[in-house]
Amino acid sequence: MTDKMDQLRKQDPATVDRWFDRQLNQLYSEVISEPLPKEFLELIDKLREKTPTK
Amino acid sequence: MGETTVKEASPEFRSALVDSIPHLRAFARSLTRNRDRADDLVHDAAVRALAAADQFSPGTNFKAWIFTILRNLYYNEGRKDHSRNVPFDETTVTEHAIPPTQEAALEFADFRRAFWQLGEDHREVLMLVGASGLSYEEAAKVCNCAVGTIKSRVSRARQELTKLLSDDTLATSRGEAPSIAQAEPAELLRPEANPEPERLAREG
Repeated sequence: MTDKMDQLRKQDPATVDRWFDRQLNQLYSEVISEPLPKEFLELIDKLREKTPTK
Repeated sequence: MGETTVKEASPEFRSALVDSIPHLRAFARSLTRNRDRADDLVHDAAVRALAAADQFSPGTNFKAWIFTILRNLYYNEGRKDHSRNVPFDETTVTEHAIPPTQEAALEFADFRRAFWQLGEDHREVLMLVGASGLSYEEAAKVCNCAVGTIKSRVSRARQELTKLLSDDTLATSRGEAPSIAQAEPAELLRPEANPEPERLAREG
């Protein structure tokens, strides 16, 4: 257990929740910041093509 | 994906879909704990969303709508396939994801390990409410349950995280923790890396 967790256990629940939220946001941002695989880049290219006028 | 399907969706819809892809990948990763399987799921969800573009109500939360599609796909189809694990790929570790201090890095490593030991429903609600920014009400719609159920799950998930983070076995295994970008079920299920292998095995 880290010193931080030892400290957190003594904190009020709201402080612990904020710490959890920061960690979760970091976990989430790891993936959303990843370079996209080729298959998604191709999909995005298709989605960004302008709709032809009829 | 058919060209016709793409072209039939409005520019606004297509733009929202493009913007949602990284978020879908994060949500799918939290469900599957497997990069390739998550990306397959995201691709399938994008195709399904395009086919159902006319069912989206403009002005409502697009992210919640497409998260629902992805989740339904996962529970209806993808969850059955547990055989497509891929080797751990170290090249996906991104520098910006590394916390600024050593202490923060150790804390985050412990947190990651604890997160991946949570049950599927707990990982799901924490990712929806705690990370992706959905409200309780929106998360309840995504999960097709009552708002109170989401609140209870979030509360229990946080309690479980606290319990796991208080477990000394986390600290002893520090340094081995996979990130969400690295998550690999086979790695997590190694007995020496996981203090609760029976529980994870039950969760499938």
